[in-house]
Amino acid sequence: MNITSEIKMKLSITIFLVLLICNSIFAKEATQSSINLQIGMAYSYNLTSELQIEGIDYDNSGFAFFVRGMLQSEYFLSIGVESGFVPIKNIYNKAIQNEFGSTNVKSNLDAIPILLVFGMDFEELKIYYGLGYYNIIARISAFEEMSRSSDFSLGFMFASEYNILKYKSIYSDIFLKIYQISDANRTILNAGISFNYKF
Amino acid sequence: MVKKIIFVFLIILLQFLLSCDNIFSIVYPEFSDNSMLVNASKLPEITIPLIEGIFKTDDKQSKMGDQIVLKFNKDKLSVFCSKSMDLFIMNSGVVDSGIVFEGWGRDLETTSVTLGRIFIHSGKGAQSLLEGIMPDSLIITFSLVVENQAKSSQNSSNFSYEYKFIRKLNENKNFHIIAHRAGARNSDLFTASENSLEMINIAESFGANGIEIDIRLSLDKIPVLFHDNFLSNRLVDGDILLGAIENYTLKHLKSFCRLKNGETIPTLEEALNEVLLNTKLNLVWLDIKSSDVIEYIIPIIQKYEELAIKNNRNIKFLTGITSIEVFEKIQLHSEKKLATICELDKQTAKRAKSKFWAPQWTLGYLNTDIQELENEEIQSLVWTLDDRKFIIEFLENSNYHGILSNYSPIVAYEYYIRN
Repeated sequence: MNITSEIKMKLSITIFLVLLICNSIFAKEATQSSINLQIGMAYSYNLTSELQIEGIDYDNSGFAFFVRGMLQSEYFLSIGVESGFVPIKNIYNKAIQNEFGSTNVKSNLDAIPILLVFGMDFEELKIYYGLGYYNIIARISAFEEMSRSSDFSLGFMFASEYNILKYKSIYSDIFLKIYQISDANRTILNAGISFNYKF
Repeated sequence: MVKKIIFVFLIILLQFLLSCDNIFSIVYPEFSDNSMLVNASKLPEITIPLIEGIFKTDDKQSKMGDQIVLKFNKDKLSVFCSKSMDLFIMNSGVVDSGIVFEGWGRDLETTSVTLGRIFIHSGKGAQSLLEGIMPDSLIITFSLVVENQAKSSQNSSNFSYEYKFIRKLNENKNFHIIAHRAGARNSDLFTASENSLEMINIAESFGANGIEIDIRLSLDKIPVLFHDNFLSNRLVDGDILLGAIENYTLKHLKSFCRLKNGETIPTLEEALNEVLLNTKLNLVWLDIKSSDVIEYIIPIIQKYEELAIKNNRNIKFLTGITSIEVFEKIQLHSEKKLATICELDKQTAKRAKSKFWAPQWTLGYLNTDIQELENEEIQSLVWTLDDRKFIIEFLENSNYHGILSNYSPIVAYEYYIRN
């Protein structure tokens, strides 16, 4: 872990503590708590422009999904956890030629976020802020060899959702979301639709 | 509502701060149409050794300090200085019977860069130098050049100083100036990436006569040069490769990963080949990042030890004993007689029959220990010494046989002006 990561880690803990303290300070009068289960799917696009290696075309887009459980209580913020699947970058069976010969390349770079999420409602609009780790999974198949790697990276998430449908305990929102995977320096934009069920 | 907006604003601000990365870069300036070398002829080979030496000025205002060191690496001139600039790397040529050097200069501890030009007038020693004769008096004009200045004038800078040759360099091949990570770290913002072949190639321009390189294994057990555990953003533009370097085969690393300045990750074999064929470096310190590496590096080192002898080169290939595990692994292959450099305590250095002992600089001068090991033919190198003040103190007060540094131009300067 380099110094930048250490500083980020300390800042993350600070943010987490600030959120918890604010949550307690701004506590509203007691209301009924509820659990909100949310699933969503989105078109995902990797905004990060890394060095392109000559002769290799990448696909920066894909389909992402997430699952989120939120506890909505008397506090200022709702709190919960989120996970899912976020594609970052892929190569689908592209033929390349280099010093090692010619080969077909198949590669996936994906992330599984594991985030602690804080949410806040502004009537129809909801704001979510997530903090945690991304399990980044890289797989590559080329030159009849297979490499696979899995690593955790500190990261964040910021999402805004707008309610478009309400039916009893079921809600549907459209959302725009940014995943920032800090250590790996990747920013991924998601736009999609989610379905909520309030218990 | 206002509370909520302030709160959201605070979160966005913090997120923004957390997303920031410490990424700096330097654009090294180049001479364009104001270069005096555009139509210059090549500097004769016989002239090169005559120019190497210590030069002095009486001008107390000089931005390069009162003494400078001139030394060649192939056809490039390195100028080691001590004041507002530490290093210049210059191209050379002959113009109208005068000798010209032009290139960039750098203050190593900041991102400050400049253009510099050295001119040797035909009447101030150039004529003799071009004939291969050392002149009685050799005076150079060293200018910091502002871009877009007139092509014709060698005195067109606001900062121009005359330096006089005072003596040749006293090169003791037994004193090792060792450049960290093959030359410098990525954070030092040079034109080549750390642990790359390109960096090995310019290490001598930084004043080094030895290099330290970091060794790890690829998935297919090929030793490669790489410092960190992971293909981090600090070292690579990995594109589709992230995670531990040990998880990827060499072909995948070479094909889909680039070091920060665009180079591929070199294998140990490529690195030693570069040292042997394209440099005059006489020491390679292999910093072993995992004991698993040992059995895979032995045949490569043995091959290059033999090749070095065949090529009439005296190169020390030293395997770093960085942990007890590495020491035990080396002991398992004791019949291979691997030359080692022990980074542990002096007793382990003795037990391992190491060629070198390498204590950390914070342990101090350790002159008694150095003497004790010298009696057993073990030399001592200190690491990693970067601050000019401490480099001077160690050169003046300790008996180390070399210094490992991220700033080898500073070590070179301070070493040469004292010897």
